[in-house]
Amino acid sequence: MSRLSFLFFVLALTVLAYASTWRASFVYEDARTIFGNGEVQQHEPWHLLQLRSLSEGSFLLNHMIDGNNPRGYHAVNVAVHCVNGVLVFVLAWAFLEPLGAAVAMTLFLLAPVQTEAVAYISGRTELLSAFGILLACVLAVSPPRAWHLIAIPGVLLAGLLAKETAAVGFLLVPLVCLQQWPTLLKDLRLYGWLPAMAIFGAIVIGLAGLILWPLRHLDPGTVGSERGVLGFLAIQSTAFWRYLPMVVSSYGQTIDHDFDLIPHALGYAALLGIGGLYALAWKARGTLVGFGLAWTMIAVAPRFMIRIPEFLNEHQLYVPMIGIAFGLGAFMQWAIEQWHPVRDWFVAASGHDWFCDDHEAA
Amino acid sequence: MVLALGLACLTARQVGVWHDELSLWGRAVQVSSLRPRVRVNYGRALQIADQDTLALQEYQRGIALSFDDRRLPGANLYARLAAETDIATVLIHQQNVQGAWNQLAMVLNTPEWPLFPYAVFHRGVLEAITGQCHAAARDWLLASHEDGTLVTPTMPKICLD
Repeated sequence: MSRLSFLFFVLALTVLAYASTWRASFVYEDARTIFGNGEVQQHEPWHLLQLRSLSEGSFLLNHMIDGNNPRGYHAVNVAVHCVNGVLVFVLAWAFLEPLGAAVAMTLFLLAPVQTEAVAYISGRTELLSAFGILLACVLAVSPPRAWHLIAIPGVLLAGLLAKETAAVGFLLVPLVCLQQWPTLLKDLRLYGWLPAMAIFGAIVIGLAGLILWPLRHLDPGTVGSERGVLGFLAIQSTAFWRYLPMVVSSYGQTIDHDFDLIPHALGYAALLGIGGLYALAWKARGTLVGFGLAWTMIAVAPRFMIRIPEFLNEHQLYVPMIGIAFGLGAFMQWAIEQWHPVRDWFVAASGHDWFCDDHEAA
Repeated sequence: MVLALGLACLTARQVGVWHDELSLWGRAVQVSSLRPRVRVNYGRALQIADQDTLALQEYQRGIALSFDDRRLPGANLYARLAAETDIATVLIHQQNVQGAWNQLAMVLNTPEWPLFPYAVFHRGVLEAITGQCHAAARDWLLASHEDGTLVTPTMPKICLD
């Protein structure tokens, strides 16, 4: 099977895996997102400059086309997920060999933990914010063009208008650039661009602040206020570790996990483990697995910093999952490369060299 | 390819859980059986499926579980009041108006949360059904002020006339 046909095979499998959403109805908070939303139901005008306006705009388009029929809403979710999968492949291709990129895309598109973001209509906010982040990163690693200076912050801002947690994109794009050009910071200083970048960064952070400003009224709620900061971090850490096996297993997946009854000691051990992952990401900087880990830990950071009334949910792992898929793709590529008999068998069985470095060949 | 096929099977199975409220919360009850909110939401799913008796059982289980002091008091209180209010909605559905009044009065007598928005909202529903239209409008306004996600329903014909 060639690389292109494998890409289409995985996309077809993704559509098949999510095919049953075609008959699925609205569930849980979809009622509030769709029926209880005056803008989506076209009772009120839609405004661009408000929290999650692009996600609401996409629901509005669905409503204009097919009213309150859930099919169209589900179809758009699956389509956006597939587009995101292709972007993950393109991004991974910039750093990994074909095998690693294919594994990253496969994991991202078909991991069971992604189900909540894709099969749940309200999960669209995650899908669209990930689209903005991924597109910005793909533009960042493609051959530099002047218009990228406008396009990259533009798509990041669009992601931010889909969901405020896309603010992590403003850290992920520099991370991708540093991985692509390890001497970037030194070069920028050499050419005296650092002050210009600082001004640019300040403008971007200002814009992000403008979008995030409405969040200042957010009620810390039960998780944040009653548990205390350490308790909150411990429970979020427990949730993170609980969801990691769901990258390759659907065991224990549900919309509402019961982390309240987890012993405190286990929660604090999980928190220590999270601290360890941040340290590991720093220690392994510059390597491909380290890049995936750094992406994951940056993308999940808002869940530890913003004390929302809910635990970390499965769908909130959608953007961090890009880093997990990348890291595992890089690791699998490295592991197979180390074991020559497996590598030779793999190349012979697939009929293509999945380890050929196309970038160097180009 | 083996990895892709294996993951696709697992994902397809999990996607089935998201088919409707009943399958979604039925799965949640399997995984988080001791969580009061899960019981309450499963009860609502059963109520939507016209299985009032089973729904009432789930609400009662939710109430019983909400006294577990290992959980946060705020979360327990919310689950308990939501379950009590949902019992009132079952009584409304069964046209037991007096029973529903008593049930909602009990919820709204809770000193920690005397304006529990979901209960205020359903008191408005009861008022609208019994022709107390101004009181209903006032309660719906109050409920939506307390919880912006509660949408004011259309007044019944008895009020519009």
